[in-house]
Amino acid sequence: MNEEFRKIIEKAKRLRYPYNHLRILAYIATRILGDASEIKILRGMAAAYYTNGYCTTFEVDIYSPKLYNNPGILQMLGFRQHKEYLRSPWILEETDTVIDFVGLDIPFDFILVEIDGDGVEVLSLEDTLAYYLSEIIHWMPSKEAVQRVNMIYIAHQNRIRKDFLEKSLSKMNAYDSLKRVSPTKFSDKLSSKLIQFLEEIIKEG
Amino acid sequence: MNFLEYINSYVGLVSNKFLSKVNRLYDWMEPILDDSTIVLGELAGKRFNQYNEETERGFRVKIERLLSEELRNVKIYYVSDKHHVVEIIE
Repeated sequence: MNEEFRKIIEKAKRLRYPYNHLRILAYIATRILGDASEIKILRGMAAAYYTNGYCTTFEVDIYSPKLYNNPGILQMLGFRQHKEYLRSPWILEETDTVIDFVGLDIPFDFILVEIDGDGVEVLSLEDTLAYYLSEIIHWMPSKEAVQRVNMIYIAHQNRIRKDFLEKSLSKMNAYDSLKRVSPTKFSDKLSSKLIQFLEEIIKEG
Repeated sequence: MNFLEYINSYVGLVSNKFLSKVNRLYDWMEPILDDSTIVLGELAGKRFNQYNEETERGFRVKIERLLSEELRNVKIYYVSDKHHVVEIIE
């Protein structure tokens, strides 16, 4: 482990969740891999970011072909792969940063998040919300999905753009499904304000 | 029961009771979510306490340490929809 990364770890250890993990990943993306776009954060950690750490997850799901194909980088930084666990995550014990590599089968949108001078990409607000909404619409949703959807909406209700959310839902084949059955079908899972918001999207769509 | 315990008692439950509480707390929670990392950190800690027993993967995240009081807060600047800056408050 190099001295520079040692200092980053010490900084990360003094940051609140989930910014501690973002700090580590931003360093790897920007200073090791060369660009913020080299690491894209998806799913639970994106939800954690948009809820300021209220929603939590054990692992960071990332899309990073460059890092996946060069495991020596993670080894050099002190990560160890734990093949005894599902999906063989890479873990940095000092900060409890757990990395899972995932694929990218949907053309997601990402935003740049800068932290302490380095950058990393995070799934966009509307795509994160749509991802968990589509789980609720299409599947028997997990408790986490229900919580994430409601909390992300509460936290960013004035920032979420209807046209962007419509596009995000369409990407995940959830817009037509929602239109067909009506958002009120999910009144036992979604807050009334979110249902109203979704109804407005369908009406204006 | 204080405010935080009150919220924490309900937010993790998927039920009509949960939803009615969320709806009722809506106006209270928005400013908290936007402005107070400390409160959310405490909420996250309490929520983690419900889940941080050994997971199916066999490891646990030491969230208690991560949420200790000496940790730094952050402020997020929304430069644009595609660009956020997380400033660490020293």
